[in-house]
Amino acid sequence: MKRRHLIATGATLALGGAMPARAQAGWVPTRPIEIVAHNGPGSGPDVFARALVSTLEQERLNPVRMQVANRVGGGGATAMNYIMDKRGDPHVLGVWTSLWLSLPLVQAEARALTTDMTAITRIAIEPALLVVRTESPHRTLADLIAAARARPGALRQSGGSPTARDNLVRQLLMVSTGTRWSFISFPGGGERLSALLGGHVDLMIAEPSEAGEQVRAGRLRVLAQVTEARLPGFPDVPTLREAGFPITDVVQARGLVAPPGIPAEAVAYYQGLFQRMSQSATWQKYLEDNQFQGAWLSAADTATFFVAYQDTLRGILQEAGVRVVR
Amino acid sequence: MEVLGGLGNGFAVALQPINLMWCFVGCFLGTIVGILPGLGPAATIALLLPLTYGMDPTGGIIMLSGIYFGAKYGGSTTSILLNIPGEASSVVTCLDGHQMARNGRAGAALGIAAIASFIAGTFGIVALTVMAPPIAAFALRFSSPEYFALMVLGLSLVVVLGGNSLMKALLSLLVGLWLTSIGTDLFTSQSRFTFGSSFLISGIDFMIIAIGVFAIAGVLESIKAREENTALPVPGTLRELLPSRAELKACRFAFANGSIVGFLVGVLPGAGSAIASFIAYGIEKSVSKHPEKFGTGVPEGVAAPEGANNADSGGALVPLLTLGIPGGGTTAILLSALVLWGVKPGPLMMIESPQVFWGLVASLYIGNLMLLVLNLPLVPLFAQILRIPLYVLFPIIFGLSLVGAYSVSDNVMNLVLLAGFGLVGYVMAKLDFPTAPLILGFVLGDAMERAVRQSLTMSQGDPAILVERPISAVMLTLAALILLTPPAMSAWRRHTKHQKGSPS
Amino acid sequence: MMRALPDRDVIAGLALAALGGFITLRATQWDLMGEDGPGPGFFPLGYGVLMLALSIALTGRALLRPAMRGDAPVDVAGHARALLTWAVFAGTAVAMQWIGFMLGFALLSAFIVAHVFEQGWRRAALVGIACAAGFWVVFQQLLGVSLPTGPWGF
Repeated sequence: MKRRHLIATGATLALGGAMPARAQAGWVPTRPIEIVAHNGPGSGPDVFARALVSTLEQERLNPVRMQVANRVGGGGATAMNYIMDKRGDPHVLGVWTSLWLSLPLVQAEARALTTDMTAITRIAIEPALLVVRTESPHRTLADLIAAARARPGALRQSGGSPTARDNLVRQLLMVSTGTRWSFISFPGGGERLSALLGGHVDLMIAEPSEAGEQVRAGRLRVLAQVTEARLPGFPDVPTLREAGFPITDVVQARGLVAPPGIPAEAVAYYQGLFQRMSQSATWQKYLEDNQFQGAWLSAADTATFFVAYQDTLRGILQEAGVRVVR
Repeated sequence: MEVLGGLGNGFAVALQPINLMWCFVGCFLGTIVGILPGLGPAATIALLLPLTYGMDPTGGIIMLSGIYFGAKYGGSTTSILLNIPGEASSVVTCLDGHQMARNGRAGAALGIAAIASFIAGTFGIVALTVMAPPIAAFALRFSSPEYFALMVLGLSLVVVLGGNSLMKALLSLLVGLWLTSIGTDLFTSQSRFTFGSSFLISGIDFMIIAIGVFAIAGVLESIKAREENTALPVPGTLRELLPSRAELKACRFAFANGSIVGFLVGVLPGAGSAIASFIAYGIEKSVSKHPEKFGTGVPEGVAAPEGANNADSGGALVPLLTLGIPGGGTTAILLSALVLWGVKPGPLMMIESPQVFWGLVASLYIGNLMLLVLNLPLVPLFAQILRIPLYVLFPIIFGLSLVGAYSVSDNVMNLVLLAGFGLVGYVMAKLDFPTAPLILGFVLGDAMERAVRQSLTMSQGDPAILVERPISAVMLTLAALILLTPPAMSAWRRHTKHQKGSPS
Repeated sequence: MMRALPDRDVIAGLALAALGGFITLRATQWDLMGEDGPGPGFFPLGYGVLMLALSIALTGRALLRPAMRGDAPVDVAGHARALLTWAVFAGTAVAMQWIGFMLGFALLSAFIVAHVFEQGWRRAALVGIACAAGFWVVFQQLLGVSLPTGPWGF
């Protein structure tokens, strides 16, 4: 009896000695995790969030159930406010996109700042293609810019809202080349594309997933890629820099954030989790299918990215004539 | 012919037992989703997507399309029985559909809705089969000036929908135009009429206004009038629960009207199905021999919009399947589903994945038939819902409205707005203002403003672009015709009566 | 002697004129014409002015119309009933964020049965609980639709 008791005590002491080290590295989620997307089912952030969840499930990386929650409204502010309101809760994550960085700059009513949240990771970057119809007389980007210079304001670009990436790239190009062409906002990608295909506008800066099929079918021609390095799907198309038009990088990125004030172990855990996910074969296939570029950054680097990129955005928006409130 | 060959192969695929099963599952789910508020087809498809990862793409798209079409069938049920629009395109069905129910013709209304949906849905699919590529090419010629003309066509219907006082109808319309501009301006990111509220930045959702002004206000009005019956009239015999021959005969033009208008509007990316149903309803009323009866419960007032919103689904598949361009909303999710399965929707899809394309098209025929068979026998059953005593029915209507409103975005503000619009609808009815123009203004206002601003930017400020292009000119002429037809027709009738010298 | 109430059209006209005026005023604070086309103020100004004009016309027409003697008397009791119902509806809708959907809905249903239809409190309670339970089963459990929840989980 006494010996067993001694052994038990001894074992407990030995384990107890080892415990503190494990406890520090050992944070794991204990409840289902909520992943917040700022738009409804089928939208960009929603589909991305669901892809994350499904990849984690397929690779058996998730210890608990993860569920996507759509917190729609306020142009994205509802989701961001929700994350801020969940201060200290390590079982809530949000899928951030570049919108989360531009929104606080232009919307006075927004009260949540992404720079106040806990950055977890950046996961992917969405490149873009500058496309025209195949019937267009412009064969290179230089042709297009020359045409724009010859007739200021005559060329038309279809795109989304003025704070979205396609307009920001347009602004930077116009400023750096001293030219001007107009921007026509359409709320949906389908309308933008059909405006271009129908010849009602002259160019568009579109994501490869939107325009890729049209290019493959020979309806659209890519003049340049808005990306650092050439995409594997478009080996013959110059990047903006290679085409002779170096501009500041307007990054359309996605990643994960957590509410402010969560324990450092939780951050480390999530960082590791999504790093493993990014390296998995399932995720690589997802990136390839959707023509994203993997762009994993650690939590610390992501936080730095937020601040630096928001500053860049502020400058670009101000130059574009958009009213900046912060 | 190539089309027949493709279609033949398609039927071979669609008639496989497994695909028939997926078709049935989709249709069934879609009908339920359409009937119940709180779940739209888009959200349902998005939720089911992960379960379909390993599926064969043909089976998968068959099922999802079943949901898409089924929801349109189901959406009319609550519109007719309870005056709660099931989804945006069912709003117009409330106008005459619910009145038919109050007149004791609920079964007939439900039956006509199902039949119109079937006829127009089939028309849409036939058009998709036979004319998809040329229609898609034609649709590309539509851009902002043509959309503007389409909206003008829609707005000209306010005259037709106005009722007694044109002035009040116009005021109603203008309020609708104002309500739709609440939110963020797309072109400049300027907030308009948001009163500093972060909630209003995204604008007010259409369903909140529609459910408030129709369902909630309707209950309040019934309570005020203190109807003596404790329940609405429901006929006893089966024959009376189905549409009569006379009612079906009255709908002949409406079936054609709904089919064509719905399909054409559906083909245009970005034009919602609510627009299609409004235009079909307006055209029906303006060519009717008894326009003043619209709004009191005429069967063609149900057939035209219901047909239009089903043909619209077929039309929306044209740009999706031939060009890979989603019309918006549900078709956008269908697109991501196709991408998920490795099918590449785009101009090459018909060539590279013919079995998916033709298998889908063939199964749409089957699905449409399945939906008719599913829905028609349920008509007498659903009509019994009206036997529920009002003191239970009214709470249920309130409850369903609250669920529907909350599902827009999980925010109690939606419920507050719902209550607000319920009061607005009640007050409007008491002050004798028609509510349909308010809804019409809301649906069209946003789109029309965008179309004008886009057009003027395209033409660098030259307003001639709005009228000079052939397609928009045609539609503007049609709008003028709609405005002029009712007074012209009544003048003609007065003239012929006078000539015949008939004693009045 | 009951004073004749102001004509409905006058009330409506004045209210809409106020709205129209407000819209017009706000619209002028935004850009009316930008370099790329009409600005955010263009359309609001248009329909604001139209609203103002039409509502003034409506009010004018109503004021100039001879007073109708044959108008049906205002059903005050009916209006009161409807508006009270609305107040309970709005109140429970707002309260749902604290007490949850089910309780709010049960209370609303019970009120309608008891007060509007005067069926007695027993039937009211029965209907209230039955409706709430039915909705709980169908929407929260079977369909998983999210609804406002109170501290008790529904």
